[in-house]
Amino acid sequence: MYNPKYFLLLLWFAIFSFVSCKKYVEVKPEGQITPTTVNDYQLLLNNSTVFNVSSGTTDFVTDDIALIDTGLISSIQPVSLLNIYEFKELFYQTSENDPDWNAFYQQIYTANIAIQGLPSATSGAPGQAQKLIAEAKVHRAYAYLCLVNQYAAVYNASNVDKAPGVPLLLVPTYTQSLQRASEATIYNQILSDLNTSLAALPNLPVNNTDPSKTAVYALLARTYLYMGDYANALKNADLALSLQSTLLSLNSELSNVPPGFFYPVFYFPLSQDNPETILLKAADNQDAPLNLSSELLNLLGPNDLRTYFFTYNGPDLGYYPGTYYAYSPYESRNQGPTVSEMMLIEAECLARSQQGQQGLAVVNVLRQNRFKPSDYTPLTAANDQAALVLILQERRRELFAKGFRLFDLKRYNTDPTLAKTITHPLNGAQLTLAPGSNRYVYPIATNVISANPEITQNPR
Amino acid sequence: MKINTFSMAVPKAWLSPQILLIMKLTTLLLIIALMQASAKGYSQITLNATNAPLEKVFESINQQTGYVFFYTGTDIKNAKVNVQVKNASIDETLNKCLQNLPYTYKIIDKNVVFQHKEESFIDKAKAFFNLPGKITGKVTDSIGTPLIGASVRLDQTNYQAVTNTNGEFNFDAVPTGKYKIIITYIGYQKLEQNIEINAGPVTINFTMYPSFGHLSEVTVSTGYQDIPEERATGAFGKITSKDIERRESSDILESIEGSTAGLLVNVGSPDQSLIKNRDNFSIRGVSTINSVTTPLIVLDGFPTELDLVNINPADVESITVLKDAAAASIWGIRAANGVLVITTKKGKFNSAPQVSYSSTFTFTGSPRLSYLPLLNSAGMLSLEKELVDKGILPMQQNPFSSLPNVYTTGSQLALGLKNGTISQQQYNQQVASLSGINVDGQYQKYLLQSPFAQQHNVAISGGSATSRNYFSASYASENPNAKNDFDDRITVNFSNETRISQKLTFTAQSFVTILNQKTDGIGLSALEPDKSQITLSPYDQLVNANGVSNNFSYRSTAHALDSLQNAGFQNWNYNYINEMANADNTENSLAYRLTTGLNYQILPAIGVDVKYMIEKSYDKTNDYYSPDTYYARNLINSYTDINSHVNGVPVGGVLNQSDADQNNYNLRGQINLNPDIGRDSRLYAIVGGELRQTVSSGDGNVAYGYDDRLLTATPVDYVTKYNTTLGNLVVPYGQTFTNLVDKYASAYANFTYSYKAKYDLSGSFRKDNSNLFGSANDGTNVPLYSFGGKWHLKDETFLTNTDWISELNLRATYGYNGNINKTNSPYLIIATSPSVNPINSGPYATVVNPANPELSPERVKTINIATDFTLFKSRLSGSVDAYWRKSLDLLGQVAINPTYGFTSLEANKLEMAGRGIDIELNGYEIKTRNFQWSSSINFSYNTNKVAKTFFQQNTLDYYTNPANPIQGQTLGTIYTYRFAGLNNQGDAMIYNGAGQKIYADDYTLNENDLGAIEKKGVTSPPYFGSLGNTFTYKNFELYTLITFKAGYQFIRPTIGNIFSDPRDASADWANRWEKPGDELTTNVPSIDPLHEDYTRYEESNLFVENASYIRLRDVTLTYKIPVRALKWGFVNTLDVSITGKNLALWTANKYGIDPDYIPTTSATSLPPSKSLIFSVKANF
Repeated sequence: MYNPKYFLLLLWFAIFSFVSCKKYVEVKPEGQITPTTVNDYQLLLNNSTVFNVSSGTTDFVTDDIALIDTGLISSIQPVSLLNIYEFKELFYQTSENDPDWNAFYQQIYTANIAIQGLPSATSGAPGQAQKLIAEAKVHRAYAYLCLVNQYAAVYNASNVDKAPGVPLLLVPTYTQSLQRASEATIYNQILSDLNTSLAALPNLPVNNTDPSKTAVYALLARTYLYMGDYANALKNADLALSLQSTLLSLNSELSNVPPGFFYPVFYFPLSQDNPETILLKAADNQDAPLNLSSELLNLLGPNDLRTYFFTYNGPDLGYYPGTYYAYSPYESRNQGPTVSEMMLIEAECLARSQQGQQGLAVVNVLRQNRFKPSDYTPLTAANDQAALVLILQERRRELFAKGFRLFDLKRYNTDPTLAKTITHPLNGAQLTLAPGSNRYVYPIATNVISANPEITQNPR
Repeated sequence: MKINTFSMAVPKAWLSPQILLIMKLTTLLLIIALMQASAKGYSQITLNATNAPLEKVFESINQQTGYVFFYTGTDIKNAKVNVQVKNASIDETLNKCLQNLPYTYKIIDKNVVFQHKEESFIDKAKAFFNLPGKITGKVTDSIGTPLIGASVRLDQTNYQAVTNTNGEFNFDAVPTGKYKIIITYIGYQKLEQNIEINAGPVTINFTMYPSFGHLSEVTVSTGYQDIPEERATGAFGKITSKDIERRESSDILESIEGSTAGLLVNVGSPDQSLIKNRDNFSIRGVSTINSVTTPLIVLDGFPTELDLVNINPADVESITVLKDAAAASIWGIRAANGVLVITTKKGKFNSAPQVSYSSTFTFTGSPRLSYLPLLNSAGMLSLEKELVDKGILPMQQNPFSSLPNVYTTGSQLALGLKNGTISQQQYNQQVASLSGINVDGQYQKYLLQSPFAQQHNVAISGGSATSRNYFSASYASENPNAKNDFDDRITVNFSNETRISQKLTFTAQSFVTILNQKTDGIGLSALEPDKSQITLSPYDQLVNANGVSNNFSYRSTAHALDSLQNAGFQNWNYNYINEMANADNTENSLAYRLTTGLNYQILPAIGVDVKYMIEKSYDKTNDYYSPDTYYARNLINSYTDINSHVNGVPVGGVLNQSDADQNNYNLRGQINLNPDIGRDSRLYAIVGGELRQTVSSGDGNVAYGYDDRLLTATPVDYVTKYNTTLGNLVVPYGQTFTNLVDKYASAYANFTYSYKAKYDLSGSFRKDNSNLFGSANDGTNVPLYSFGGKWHLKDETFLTNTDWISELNLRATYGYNGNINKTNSPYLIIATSPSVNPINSGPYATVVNPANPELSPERVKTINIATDFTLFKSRLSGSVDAYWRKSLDLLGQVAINPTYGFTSLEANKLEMAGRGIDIELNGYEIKTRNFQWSSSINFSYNTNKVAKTFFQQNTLDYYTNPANPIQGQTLGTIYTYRFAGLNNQGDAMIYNGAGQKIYADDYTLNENDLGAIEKKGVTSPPYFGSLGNTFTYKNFELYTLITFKAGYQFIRPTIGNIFSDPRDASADWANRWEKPGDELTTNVPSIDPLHEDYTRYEESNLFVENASYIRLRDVTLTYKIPVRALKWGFVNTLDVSITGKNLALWTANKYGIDPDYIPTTSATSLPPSKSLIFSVKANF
């Protein structure tokens, strides 16, 4: 006969052995996972919503935009675009997010996750982890290059060690200090990230959403251009063009558009399919209607196929008569490097190094692809300075509405011959922005500063 | 043994007394307990009887005093007595009655039990003192029912036994000597008796009396154990099947609304009770900000993840609401919001089969579309003209944009007038004819219907000496207010309990529920602007004068759509009538649950329970869109290449299927201890452990080109991008999969200690391990516990003689409960997207949860102090509970500096303090033989304060969202802007902090200028409750239920933002400012493109309304057909009733708005219309 006490004891142990057994409650989540494998990070880096995004607001500061449609002014969304257009002291309300700042720092955070996690990630093909780390570093470098140009003063070699740049975050934690690093520190980080990623990357990417060696050279060229180091900019632009140089002839694209169709951009390849794209970085507010200034429209001229493809007539969509808008809401307005940008950098650097004619020759190659043969005329200039002006005009035509203009204007303002006062019409009034004004630099959003007061605001 | 009973509530002799007694015992005891009050005051008996049957005398005493008589044998019934008394006490009267009869009596509470003088137990025991060796006996309750499973033992020996199904026990070969025999049984007073064994058999019968004066064993259930109510220290609310059956509904929560204090039920979608996720409810308000807010639901001992719609209210025996820490903390990290413990009906042992049947039919009035603040046709036309004139319409966006376009008739007309394509005269003509169209005429006729519902239940229960069974089946169906919608439900339920041996009991229970839902209707969804395809304008006619249904073009202008159709696109028009006719949308769900258990009583003091539960539900949604439906045509067109006209989505039907499955199990081992720890003390304890796993899985599938006849679909290219009217798109990939596994391993213990039946102590402890917080996180996963005490004051000597108090207890408890939030994790979590990267068509992942190592479960500390009382001869009983609650470690979305890469994070940073009072009162106003009036009142007060916030933003934006916690304020505090009237241009003005008038949409208003807003109330009711009244006259019963909420506010929805979608315009726009001077007579602003943001105006104090209300929820008139008098032998009881539901509503707001159903122009549900419910209930 059994003793009930033993039975009891047994049951007791049975219950508590499984209760204390923590193995039971260890469940590997499915669908939602903690990244551990190389492929997990690959998935993270293939998130175009995070990585293939760039600022979409900076054109509103520039002379490319003129809001003459009163209906548009009243309905412009978000209102912050109007604040930017009006050169306001602050662009965002106290608790409002700055979409550009947030998007870039989200890129940096996610890139930092990959850079930190990949060295210990498991089960990747040989070299794949290194390639992904390099991709993450290129994305991080791109974000810092945009941030330092948008939220800090223009690069000035004599002051770059002291000029505040932006907070520099290299690990994905939310407890570190957000003190603004100097511009020099930021630029050094950009150059270091680009240079150290070069080796692990293929010459050309499978998708232009992914960084490649070409993209690294292109971003180095852009970085050196913004730093005023034209020799290095030229060198890297050439390196980029040596790997990728196909231009799309707008004249041959013309045949795709049905006659009389009011919206030709429908029939133009999107940036991700465009052979000129080196790395895709799409504007984060593709829907915002960019009301083009008559100055830009005059510069483009009616025969330029870029006018035909990339602007459309306001009244077709119920807008104010006489208005023209840039692109369509569908086109991403790629702000990443392209073949044409490399050619323009090459041309500018040549002109700035007393090789204006060679520069014009490069630009004319580009122009041949932008006009019907019957409308094409080559640019000619008497001297290097005139060539430079023509090249910079071509740069404005080629890159309008793609976020380049503000950074270019900031650069030009350091040269008295290129400096310019911006005028914005608004409901009958004229708002002006003088060359070198503090208002060329974006204010940092209040909600960023109020949470971490160690971030200093830009002078207004 | 033959037993007779009578009381005024129980009819005599229409059934054999045994059957009556056995079958109706519970009911009888319940009624006795409820009907003890006397209408004539305290024990003043006046009798003048000569040679009267004793039974008649008892009946007379009963009427005068409420005392109930119990006796055995027929001799007492037939005895004749002479008795004359005036204003005598019960003792005087009875002594006179019995002076010549061989009976004694004993008064227990309000019951008088008679025995033969010579057959008292003591006498019997004495008579057998000389017989040695063997003891046999029988244990019964005071009316002779055998008590099964009572523990019998001889003190200081190993002799112990448990009574069998006849209440009998025996001890063999007991050595000669003196013994003390001790009998215990849950809910009954412990019985001790000295006996002496000499030689020969001894037979003793014992009668046990319920403990502490209670006749019936009323228990409350925690899900782990049943606790006799008188030993419960915590705050339990008990709802019986009688309460539930009185409220005619297929929905449990609706049936228990107002049944216990502290329970707040918000009845959702009042026209549909057979759908999932219908109601929300809370117990004692909110204790959390961002985590689970619904109470845990425990069904027959195990938590259920099944929706409550799966349970037929007719199968519910009782519901215990666990309110405080002592009641609920046994449920650990899921108990913070309280627990609803549902116990389903079981059969009864030794009971002949009993069949009960009920049917109800619910007729509801037509849906009140006029309740919604819809702009009428003339108003909408005028508004659209103004919007067009001011250049706001047409909206400036791409004609093929995916955003809703506004191409309504009204705006087209106004645009035509503006562009000169139609003349002023044509315009006026058109407008005049459209203005005559009533907003809700065709809508009501073609899209809505008067709801109708029916329900039928059959249940069979019964049992033998060793097993008991319950079987039930039900069918319910309803036609909700959306035409072409239909829901039904079938439930089948079976339970069995078998006593395999005296020590081993087996239980098994199962139920199956089938839910079918047909959602072919359009109903109110045509009002939602978000459903851009089908939003109706008030002047729209669904059917034209010739009876032909009209086409609507929502995607673009009719002209543009026609030209696309000519170019090879599908017809892109929408037709309400055809769309409803072509719809084929169903949702079917099958749920089942199996519970089995074994109970082994090792020793009288030690029992072991092993229980296992498995529950599954399969939910399948099947939406078939035939090629004729707008849905299919729109999808095909949306993925048609604008140039080549290649169809990304093949022409044909579309089948959307999705499955959502639940797959849960629970295994529990538990030891029940009931050791003897001395003469005055009793200890009941349980110790156990359990494993639990819940798996929620699902998948979705879209089949393109589906042919419902051939059952074939067409393969689709998901990679190629099509240059469509909506941009460059790939066909959406319809395959989705989810699988979420949660596991818990828990240990728990609970004890109740009772001393001299006057003092009770209880305690419980629980520790949960769960994957939700990660196994590494031991430091934060602390055990949850509670303690409680109870003092029965009435049993103290100083109250023994206080006759007006029948019962008075004080209770106090203290403890911790937990709460969880499944949406976050301490680890960095990435989620793969179900769709591909739209640019490179590759798979990708997103960070959904940044690494957050400091996460822990939430804890809620509760102190509860309460009193229970029964006063004035049971005329008044009730309880008052006061509680204080502190929620610690609450999770909150804290704003993170976006520079870190994300904008918010969940952190255990918030604290909340709550307090409240629950009052329950039950009483009789009038009680005579033919007429009774009783009432029950539940009153609750509950409030909370946010004690600690983290990253609280002192901005207007933050304050004006009532969901944001603000330190020192009640959660849900309403802050509003201060309306400053309209200026002479009709623009809404508000005051800023300095008291200056500024434009309502002035964006220069400093976000930190908190002076611009003021506190105007709270969104949840601090006071709520119910008043139930029952009037009985002979066979008629009238029951009324009134519910109320008070002390809270709501913001009345007003104009709506016509700048983002004019169809959102409310009727208030009709009173808008149109010309200078209007500002003197209206508060509705003008349409001003320069001041287009009405948000602050809509959030101004102008629209804060008092939400208090009183609702006449139910009025039920029942007629109990006197089947016995009519000699309808086939039926035992037959009740017919008629209920009026939602008959009246008194609101504090002057707009007649039902605060439970705040009307908007895009409302998805309407307040309940008045319903009439016919019901039949029978027992066979």
